Amino acid sequence: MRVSLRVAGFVQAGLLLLAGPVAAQVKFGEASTNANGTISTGYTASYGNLTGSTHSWTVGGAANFAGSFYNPNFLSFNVSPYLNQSQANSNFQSISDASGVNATANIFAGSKFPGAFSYSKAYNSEGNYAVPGLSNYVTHGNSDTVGVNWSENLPDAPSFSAGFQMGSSQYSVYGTNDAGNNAFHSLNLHSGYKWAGINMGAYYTTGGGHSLIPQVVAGTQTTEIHSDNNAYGFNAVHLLPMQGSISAGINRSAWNSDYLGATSSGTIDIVNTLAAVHPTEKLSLSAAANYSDNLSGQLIQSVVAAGGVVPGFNSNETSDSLDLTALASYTPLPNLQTSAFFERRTQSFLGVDYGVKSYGGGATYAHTLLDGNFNASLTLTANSANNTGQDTLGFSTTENYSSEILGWHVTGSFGYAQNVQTLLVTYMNSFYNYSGNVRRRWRNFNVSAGAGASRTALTQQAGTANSSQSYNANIGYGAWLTATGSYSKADGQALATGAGLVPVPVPSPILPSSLVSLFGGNSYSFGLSSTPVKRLIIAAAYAKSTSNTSSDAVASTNQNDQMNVLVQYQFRKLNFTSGFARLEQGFSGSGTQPEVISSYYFGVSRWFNFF
Amino acid sequence: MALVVTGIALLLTPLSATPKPKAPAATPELWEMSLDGGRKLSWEHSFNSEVEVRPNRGFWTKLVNVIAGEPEYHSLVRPYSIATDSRGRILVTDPGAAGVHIFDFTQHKYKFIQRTGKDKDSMLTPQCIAVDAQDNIYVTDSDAGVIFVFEPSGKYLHTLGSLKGGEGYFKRPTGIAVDSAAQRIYVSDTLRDQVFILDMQGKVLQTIGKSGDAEGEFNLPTELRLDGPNLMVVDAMNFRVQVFDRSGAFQYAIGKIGDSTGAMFRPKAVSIDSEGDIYVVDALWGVVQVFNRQGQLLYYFGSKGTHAGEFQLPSGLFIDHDDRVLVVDSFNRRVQVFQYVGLKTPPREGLQ
Repeated sequence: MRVSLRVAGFVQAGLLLLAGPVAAQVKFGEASTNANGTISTGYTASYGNLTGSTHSWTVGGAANFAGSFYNPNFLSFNVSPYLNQSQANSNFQSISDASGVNATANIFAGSKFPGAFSYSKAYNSEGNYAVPGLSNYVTHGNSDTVGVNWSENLPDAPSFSAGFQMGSSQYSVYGTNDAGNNAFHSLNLHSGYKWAGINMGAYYTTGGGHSLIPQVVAGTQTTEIHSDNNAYGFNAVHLLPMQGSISAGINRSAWNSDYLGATSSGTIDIVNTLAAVHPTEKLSLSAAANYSDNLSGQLIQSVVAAGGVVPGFNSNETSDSLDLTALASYTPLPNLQTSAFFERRTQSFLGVDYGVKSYGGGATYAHTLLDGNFNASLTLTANSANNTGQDTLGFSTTENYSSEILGWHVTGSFGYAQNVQTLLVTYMNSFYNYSGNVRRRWRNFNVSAGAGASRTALTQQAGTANSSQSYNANIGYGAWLTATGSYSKADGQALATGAGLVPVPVPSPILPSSLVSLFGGNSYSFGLSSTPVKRLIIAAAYAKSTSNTSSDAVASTNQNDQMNVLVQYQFRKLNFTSGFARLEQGFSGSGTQPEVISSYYFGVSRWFNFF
Repeated sequence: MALVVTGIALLLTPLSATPKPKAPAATPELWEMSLDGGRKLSWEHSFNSEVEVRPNRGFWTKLVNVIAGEPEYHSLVRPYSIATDSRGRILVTDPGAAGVHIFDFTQHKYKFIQRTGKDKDSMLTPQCIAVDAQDNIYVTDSDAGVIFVFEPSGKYLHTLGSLKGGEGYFKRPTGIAVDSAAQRIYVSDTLRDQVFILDMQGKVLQTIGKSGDAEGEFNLPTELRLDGPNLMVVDAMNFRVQVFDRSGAFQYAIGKIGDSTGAMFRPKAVSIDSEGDIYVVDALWGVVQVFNRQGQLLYYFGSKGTHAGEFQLPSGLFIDHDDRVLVVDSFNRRVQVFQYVGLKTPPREGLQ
């Protein structure tokens, strides 16, 4: 058992008692600033199955310094440091004592040369490892980010803006001996100029990232990803008669990625153009063309952008795509809009030429219904593929309704689509989603409930579906009692990245199976909170999530249980907090038993307006 | 008799030559105006928060304040109208805080009346205020279109003008005055350009006026004040104060539109001192002008500013039985208190 008692704590606690209410803006030469914040102290006793029991008395605080130098338009700043912030002494609701700082500064605001700077750093803070549609898993670690932006907006001269961001994070996942990290950097430059009625723009971006993915969901060995990318392009827009415009753009991008020594690199050139006119108030016409000289590269790039890589993908093989589209829309009634389109797509991919002609039409309609608002849209598309000779009919529809019926506020939406084109003409998506919410209030009593579900899959491709369902309910009686409950269920395919599992951004058959993780699970939660008297909060929450993840290398059954009980009372500027927290998290794929951490805590914090 | 005003560097300028009333030069935090016949008007103090009502704090209170911080005292947010009751308590409506502040400097007590979050009859925008002989409190709500009645303790009694479905009978009730002896309530409905006479249960007995600028007609009437047998109505956009008898018969009017001293531009409230002189506060100019019954300007005080005796968008005015002149200095979020010392003589002649 370890007792950590910090002398500095008593010093600060003494300050807490002795500090009187002082509030005024302070000037240091040309700088003026004001500051406020909390000083807090708390006791925490924690114990777990993988760590020894400890108890400690910590002192922490959080402050906010805001001010300016010379003039707020010249330089303004905001700095917010925090020290040892946890559920025992703050609203962080974190089981770790987090410390760090967030800072922003603006220079020359409102001038033609405004700039901004931001910086944040966090130590021992709580984080999340995501699973689509389910509760996140709990992590803890360190992170930092820095960003700089500057722009120039001189009249009659090209505008210019530049931004630079970089950051990194290192974390470990509770319940495993595993760790992950992320690092990124990016630089982007933009410029715009209007000459002879032509609005022109140009840009350059470059960036890169590095991720270390926890092996528990990615594989038996630590998965490391490096990626770099850059892009530059030019676009121009010119107005046409009949409230029209014509625009064109050319873009070149390149990527380079490394996945456990397997590298992938390439460049993509994309040219696009669009012309649109409005001959009458009710009619608009447009035509567009889009050409890419590296379709394979586009697929890889979207995966890289999501945080993954496609190792060994043969990007040197010639591939390209051309997309021509013509669209006419007509508005016969204020609440009815119709459209018709024709699209021709040709693609060369993996040595095979594909082509598809699509034509169709749609309508969007809005009207009142049962004292509510109803709108719907329907689009029909006929596809004719010249390679496979397969003709398909696609359609999509959405419906939304909101109303008040017998005192109930009701909203609902529904969407369904079949045979929707994806980036590759050889794959088409089908999906549906629906959601509904009701709420009602009787004097102090209020109730609400909601449900939603979605499913998306490649048409006629078994095993490519992602689906989710969620339900929630809330019952409350004034401030006396609020009860909440939720249930969600999800399954599908995901890509393992440094930030967690993310939905696969391309048709999943494109990706090697070693990169695709299957997941499925459910989670539910309950919560109760009450304010029986003013400034007293009693709250309890329980959440449980269970999921299965499976990749080529490892299958894991994962669980996450969290329980929190909190009692908080505010007396003037003092906040008394006490509670109990329990976290149980485990991954069978990690080969270790689930980690259980429980803690009791109480603490007090005092808000000050320092100056 | 000509009015002689000798204040601290105070000199009234000729009426027609002055584009706006000039502020009396005054020592920022302490000033006094010497008026004719030995009368005088002095600035007493101002207040804006609950904390100013509280008595001196003892050692333990101070210690708790140091440790736990000062309590969150109620402050004036956007005060509008003002009245006093028989106990000397000062009642201030505050639409910005959606409530009514009751300052009791005698008993060192404070109370904030609020009625929010109710399914029915929530107080949204308390506008003007009056008390009856029992010190019950009547508050018009310009948004809810009703009149709220509270006990002297602040306990809710009932709502007048509330229709089925929660709507209010009035379009925009603003000024209110209560005649306890006659059991009548007078309410100005600004959007209807009318003054309603109600019984104590809220039943409409009679209306006064209609839209227009003739005698007895209104253009956005805002504030009411009872004066002996008469009812004074601030007829805001006719730039005058009209005086009726209590049956609604027109008696006389004072005020005219203009941008010179003695004219009215945004009259907000009216009150009467013990000598029968009529005080009208003008929001745009930030002054209180004092007229005799013939509508002649006697003197004025105030100017735009933030110091003592200066106003920013003053909106409320009330003179109590002790001739304390209470001015709601709305944008400065305070009430300024002046003490008028008169001679209890008949009304005087005004400036010519």
